Amino acid sequence: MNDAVKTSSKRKINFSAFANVVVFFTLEVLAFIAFSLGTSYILYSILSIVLLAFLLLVTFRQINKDGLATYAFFLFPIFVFGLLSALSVFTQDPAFALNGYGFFIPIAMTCFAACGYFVSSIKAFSISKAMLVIYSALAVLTLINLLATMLEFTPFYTLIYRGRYIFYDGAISEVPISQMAFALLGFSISEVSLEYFSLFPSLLITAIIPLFFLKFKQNKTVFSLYLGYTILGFIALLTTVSKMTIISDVLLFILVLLVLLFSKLHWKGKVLKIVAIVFASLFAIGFIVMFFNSLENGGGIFKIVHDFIAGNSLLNRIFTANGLVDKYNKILNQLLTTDTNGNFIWLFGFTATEVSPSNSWFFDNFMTSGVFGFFFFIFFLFVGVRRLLKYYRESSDNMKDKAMVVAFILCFFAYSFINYDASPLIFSKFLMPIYLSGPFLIALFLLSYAIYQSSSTAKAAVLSEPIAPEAKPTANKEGADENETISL
Amino acid sequence: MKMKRFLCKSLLLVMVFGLTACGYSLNELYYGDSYNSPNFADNYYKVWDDDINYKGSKNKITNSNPETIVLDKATDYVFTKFGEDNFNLVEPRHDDYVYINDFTEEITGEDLYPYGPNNNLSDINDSFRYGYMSKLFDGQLFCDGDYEKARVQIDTSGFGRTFSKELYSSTYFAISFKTSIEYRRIVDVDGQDVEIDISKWWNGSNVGSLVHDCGINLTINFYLKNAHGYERVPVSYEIADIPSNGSEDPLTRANYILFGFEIGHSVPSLDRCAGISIEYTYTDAYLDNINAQITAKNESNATNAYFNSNESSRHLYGGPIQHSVLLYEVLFPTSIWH
Repeated sequence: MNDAVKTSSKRKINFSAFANVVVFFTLEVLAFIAFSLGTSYILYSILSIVLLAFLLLVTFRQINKDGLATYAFFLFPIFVFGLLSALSVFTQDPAFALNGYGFFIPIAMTCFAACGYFVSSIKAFSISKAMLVIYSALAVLTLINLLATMLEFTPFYTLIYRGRYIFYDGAISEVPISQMAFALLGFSISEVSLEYFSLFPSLLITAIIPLFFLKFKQNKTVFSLYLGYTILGFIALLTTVSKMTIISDVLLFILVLLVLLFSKLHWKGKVLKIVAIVFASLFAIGFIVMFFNSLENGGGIFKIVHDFIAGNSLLNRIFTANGLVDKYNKILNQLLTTDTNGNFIWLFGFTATEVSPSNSWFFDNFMTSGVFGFFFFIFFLFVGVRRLLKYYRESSDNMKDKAMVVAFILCFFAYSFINYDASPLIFSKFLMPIYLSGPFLIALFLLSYAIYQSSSTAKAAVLSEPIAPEAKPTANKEGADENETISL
Repeated sequence: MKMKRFLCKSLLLVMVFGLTACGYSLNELYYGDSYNSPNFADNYYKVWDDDINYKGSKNKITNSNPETIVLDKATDYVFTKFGEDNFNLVEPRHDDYVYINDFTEEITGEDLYPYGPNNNLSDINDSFRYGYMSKLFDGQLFCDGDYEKARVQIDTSGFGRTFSKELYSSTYFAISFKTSIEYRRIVDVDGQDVEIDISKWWNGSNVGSLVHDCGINLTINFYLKNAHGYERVPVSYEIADIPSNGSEDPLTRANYILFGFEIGHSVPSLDRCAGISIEYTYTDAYLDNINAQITAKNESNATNAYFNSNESSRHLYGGPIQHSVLLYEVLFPTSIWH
């Protein structure tokens, strides 16, 4: 009998014993990507392939096939979006960050998203610790960027030195220093746009959310860390304050407030649906109006809308005369350019030499991935956000973690909707669309985690024992983080 | 109590951030239109860093009255044109270089390399990319239609700036420049901008020009760093017959001077050079002659019928005519900087 058992154990290697190691590796990769080393995308891709291979080895026996089929609805459009982005004319631009290596785009996005799904099935994986790792990496990056900027400039330089320029390489800088900052991009500190700099502290101030769920006396270290991160993010934004970052951070503040209100008051179901529908409708109407208005030579309904907007001073200010919307109009116009035969020539994307990036992922996707890439992006985002809200309503994760995951994803996409600089370097035409940014990959990872958790079959997958009692999914009640520690 | 301690620590952290506000990049800030005026007088770069301002009292120059080294054309291999014998002697790759082109790094298909873009200091060391002086290190040897944006314009008193790096080794030094007399001026007359064509004003018609040759005595001070400050090494050389105000010919670049000399002879070494100043004096009376006639010319133009249809150029407002050295590049080819 014993011999039979021994023979059996010799034949089959139980990779699930490595679950803890893979979870640790996942957290390391998460930290690395949240650190957002910019040009290291190829490295991310390779890491995500290796990580996914390990995760498949550890989880392939236990993972539920039904859940995978549902997840494919999310993963497939990501892959297609990545593929279309890689094949787009945009990647031929010499300034494109992955010049010549565009095929890493679908690999990194798909693999890293899948990692988020598979790692969720391992019990040793704790979303609390994952979020702490992500925010810690963001905090280190923000601290480096802030120190570099303050060494070169001074607090509030954006207000004190408005309209002042520096000379670089024999020419006056294109933008005043009030629109510049210093940040770690790639493996060197460079002059970057203020929009790019502000992305990280803006995401970091969402670390305020756990402070509403944790109790200082019971979770001193974790509470202090999140408080410190929030203060750091706030200081970074305050010392580099600008009109555009104020606008985007007000948007983030509203989102954080909504997330807090929903989670503290346990608003779910109907209220959530109503708010989602109101936001989606406002956005859809705005986009349709802008799309109609952007077509300069359109006739019929396009002309009617165009004339109506031109005749109304308020709408004219928003959709025509305003510089912000003007950038979106240029992208849409370029997309719909036709040749002499009336064929659309830029439907699969175009380079940034024709039109500058618009500082919005929503419109930049037309340029970077073409119209079909845009629709696949919207599709996976729609599926992802829908499952994210389901995760928020139904998951057994504690409310703090759910609120953090939701807030991080929504805040990243909201901020990047109006303020993502795809050309972050001041003195170089370096192009880094949203799909190359670290926080985007983190958002994909978290969306995949949420999809797994929201799946009704998620509970079926049981792997190794948790490495610490606090890693076990806890009951959905407030104050459940009392035993939270930072040990891994 | 512990919370209070935590807040105190946070406050301390904030103060640390305050202390880190060194503002290294705030030393050189400019308004968007700085040194970009059509008027010569507004474009003069006259900045002297205190440490090397030998005419000032706060300098850190350790040798107070050094003897000026007057370069010898033969023994110091002084050149004033690209392709001269002396240039070919000091620049071993002279056959690989072309002079007239400064737009690209390489002439495709010809295995030839434009001299400026392949010897510029900003490519040798990144520290030369920053600041107004970066105009002199960017590899652009000629105006190329960029006018004020391309040049550093100096009057006879010149400028003096330190570098953030020290020269470790170099075989020769060179500068690219041309000279020009002011050819137009925009002045405010009774609240209105008036554009004066100096050539028309001077000639009393649209016949004639301001084309002339001028001579200068160039003085370049190199500041070599030492334990207590800087050792000043003044070097001078007289250049005659510099063509001024001729039309730009991109095929000959005849208006430009590429002046240089080999290090290691009269100037034994420029190691640890961490600053430079450039000044000059005119060796001819061309400018003084024009300026002495401003009043007389204004009076004669007052009754000149030509100006009835060119009224704006009838009278010269705004003081003496300017004559400048327009610097385009400072070169230490194949140098090493620490």
